[in-house]
Amino acid sequence: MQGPRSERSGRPDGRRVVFVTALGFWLSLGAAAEPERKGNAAAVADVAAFVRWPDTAEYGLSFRLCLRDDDPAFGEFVRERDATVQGKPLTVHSMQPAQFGRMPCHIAYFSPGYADPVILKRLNNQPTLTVSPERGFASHGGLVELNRDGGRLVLVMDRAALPSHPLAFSAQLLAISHQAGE
Amino acid sequence: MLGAAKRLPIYWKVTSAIVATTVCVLMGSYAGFVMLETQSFRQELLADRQGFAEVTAQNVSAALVFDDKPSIDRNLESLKGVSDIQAAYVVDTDGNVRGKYISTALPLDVERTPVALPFDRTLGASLRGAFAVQTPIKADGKVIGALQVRVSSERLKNRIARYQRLAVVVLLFALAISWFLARSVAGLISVPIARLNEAMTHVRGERDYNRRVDLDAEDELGQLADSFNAMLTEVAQRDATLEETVRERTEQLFLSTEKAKAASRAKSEFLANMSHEIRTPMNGMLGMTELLLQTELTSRQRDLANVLMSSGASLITIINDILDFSKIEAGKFKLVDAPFNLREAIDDVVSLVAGTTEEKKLELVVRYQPDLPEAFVADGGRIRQVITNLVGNAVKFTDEGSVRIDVTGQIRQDKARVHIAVTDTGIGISQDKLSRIFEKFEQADGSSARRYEGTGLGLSISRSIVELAGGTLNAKSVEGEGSSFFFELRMPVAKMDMEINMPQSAMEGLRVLIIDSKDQTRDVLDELITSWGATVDTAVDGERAIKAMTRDPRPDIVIADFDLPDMDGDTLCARMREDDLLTDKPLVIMASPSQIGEQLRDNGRTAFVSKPYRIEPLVRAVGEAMVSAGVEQAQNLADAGRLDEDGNVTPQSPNGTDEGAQPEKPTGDGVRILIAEDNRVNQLVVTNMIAGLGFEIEIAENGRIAVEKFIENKPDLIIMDVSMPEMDGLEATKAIRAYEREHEFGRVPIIAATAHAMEEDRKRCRTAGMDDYIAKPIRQDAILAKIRKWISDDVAA
Repeated sequence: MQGPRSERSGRPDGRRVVFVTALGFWLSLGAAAEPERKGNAAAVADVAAFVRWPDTAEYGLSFRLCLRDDDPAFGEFVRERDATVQGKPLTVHSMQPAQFGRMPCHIAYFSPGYADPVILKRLNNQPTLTVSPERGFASHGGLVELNRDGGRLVLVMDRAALPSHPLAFSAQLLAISHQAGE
Repeated sequence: MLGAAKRLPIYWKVTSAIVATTVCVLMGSYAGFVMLETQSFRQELLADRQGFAEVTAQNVSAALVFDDKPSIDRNLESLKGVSDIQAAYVVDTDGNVRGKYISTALPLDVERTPVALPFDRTLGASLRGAFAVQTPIKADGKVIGALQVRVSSERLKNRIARYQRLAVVVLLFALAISWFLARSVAGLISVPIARLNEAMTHVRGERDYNRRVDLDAEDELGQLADSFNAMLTEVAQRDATLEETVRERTEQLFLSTEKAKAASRAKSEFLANMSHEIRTPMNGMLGMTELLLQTELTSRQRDLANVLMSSGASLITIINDILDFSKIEAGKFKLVDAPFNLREAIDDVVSLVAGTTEEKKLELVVRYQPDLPEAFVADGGRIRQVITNLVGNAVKFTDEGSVRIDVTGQIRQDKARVHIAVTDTGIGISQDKLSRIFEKFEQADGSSARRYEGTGLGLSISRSIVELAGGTLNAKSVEGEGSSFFFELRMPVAKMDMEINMPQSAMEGLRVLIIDSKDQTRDVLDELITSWGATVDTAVDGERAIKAMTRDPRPDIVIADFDLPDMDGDTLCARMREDDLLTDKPLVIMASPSQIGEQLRDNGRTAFVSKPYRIEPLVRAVGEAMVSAGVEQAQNLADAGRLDEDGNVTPQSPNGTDEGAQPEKPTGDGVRILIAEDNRVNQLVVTNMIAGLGFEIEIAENGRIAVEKFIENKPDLIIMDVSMPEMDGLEATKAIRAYEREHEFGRVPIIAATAHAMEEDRKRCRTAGMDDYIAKPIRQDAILAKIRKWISDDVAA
């Protein structure tokens, strides 16, 4: 749940743009070298492709991805703003922890150390896909844990909790995911 | 191929057509069915496999997104149960193979890689022995890769093979069905046609128009059979009528033919009789006139006798023309080819018309191409008849100017193409009449007030003769300016020596002066004498000639026309003899018979030649001039056998006789001649013609008496009339010949003297055993020539 202060307090737009550009350049180089080595932002978008949101989760014309206002991955996700998920343009929203569960979010991403159990609990029965690369995230109430096995992304999910969740997960996604706690 | 099809019977044509059609339709339908079935099966197979591919593609989408290769392989492995799928590949959008499944059924020689296909849609592609089906792998609506499966086409092949095997069965079945159908249909068509054909062949071959065709059909073939039967009925009826008509017409034709034959026989007999009946009194008339002319007569009596003689000769010509025309009309006119001398024949014609040309003061010119042979093989008598007719016409229709005879030609391989043209400066013929001039009874002057006599048969006969000889007689003319009649004949050159011309180059080195004011005559003589090898100078009058003669080089021989513009021949001769330089110069003068003076005949250096000149007297005169001049070229004549032992020139002639001299009268001392003649006048004619020559003459009034007198007196020669009472000349001759055979008596020459002038008559005489023939009216010189011939032959024998 730790993250650079500067990202939490917000940096000037110029420096932020430079950072995002540099991050994008790095990501593009990485993608060209090893296409399977995707960033978490891209992985979140990929996971979203195999999840179906209920009709109640219609929040307008965009697909909303929320991060804590202090989450350091904000910049990474900002780069993914132009991506399309579920046929809608991805919009990245930074919000205070208290706002999670109150503000509409299709996805809530938490960098390692930023997954507050309170927030997770608040989001538990809401149509919000919680994703984090933090170890044990799925065991602690998160829906999708992004693990890395070498360079390969491994999804960990608590399949037992899924049937009662408002979100519907595709069989293909479940087929390639690992059970939390195993 | 087409010809073979045409010859094929209808039965087989129909059978073949039906079989071919049925088989084609069945096989075509089957092929279409197989094609559709195969296509459908292929589409089903591909759709089915495409379903597998799409399901699998969906299943592997998450695995592909999260690069879960085991999951991909696991999903692909599920295709193992699908027998047709030989391989499956998951390819990402960069073309990298992210997972694959290879079946053991995939042949080893097939590459283990997917084929390049577009990612964005599902499609298929044909491969060798397989199909490739590719479907895109999508995640969240985006194409993230593709799943490509290789589907074996073995099942499709197997199915096609099964269809092919089945096709053979279908083909055999189609053949069997179509064969059965074809036989049935072809039989329905061909059997009636065959029956019709058989009936037609029978009718045509046997002429059996009672034959009928019974067809139990009401279609077109049935109608055809009915029409055929109806036609046969009509033909049979018409034949019955036609036979009757033909029989009637045949009878009529037979009667008409018989009538025509009878008419023809009557005509021939009439002509023969007419010829005979006219010739018999003509014989008396002409014979007596000829004898009369040999007696002392006053001038007026001689003129009257001459008119009588010429009128008789004209009448004989007319009779001969009528006989010739009759023979031409009857198609019995034939030519008899034998060697003859064309140049001599033309000279004979010149002699015939010489008197008339002299009277009319016409220039008659003969130009015989110098290098053209003289002797040919053809019917010389008939050719002479044609030339006589043409020249006679030319002289008759020309009042002033000239008549010219041109004989030219070429030789090729012993055959000559001789062109003879007779050109005059007479009245000419208008163009409208020129086209009809050769028709019988046509004349140039056909007006009722015509000035010229003639039957109008001459040219028609001449054209027929020329055509029979293989040529064509043509004419061209300008009215008021003159005419030209010409024809061309192809004749073999006679091998025998019959030349009467001067031997070639006989006058080589000699110089001859020709004096004549008439251009044509002078030019022709110039050409002729030059062809003899001499160098020729010419002059147109006497004064110029004398001047030329006194200048070097002087001529060796002078040939002059009597009628020179400035002096006559006598004056020229006198002027030459007065001149010391010219007094011995040989001079040949061409003059009319009436101009030839007796006082010059004895002058050895001067010779006279009648004009229009004939080649033979001219050759003789020039030859004698050469001998007289003592030139060495005279030896050329001796070498050519033209000089006798006494140094006289003896031009060769076809008969070996000197035609230029008067015929020698036979000496009849002791020669007994029996004349068998029933006509009293003719007895007198013949007797008087040969009287005074020493013959012992005996007369027999008919054939029977002739035979008796022959047996009794054994005459040396018999002149036998043909038509006589009691026994005709033919029977008498046969009897005499029989007697000669029985008694081994020597053959007595028998000369037929008859008014039967037809060719058949001549043959009948020879068949009967006669040796010679002379037609009435008998001319004295002719009968004496015959007697001389047979007496001398007899003596020689």
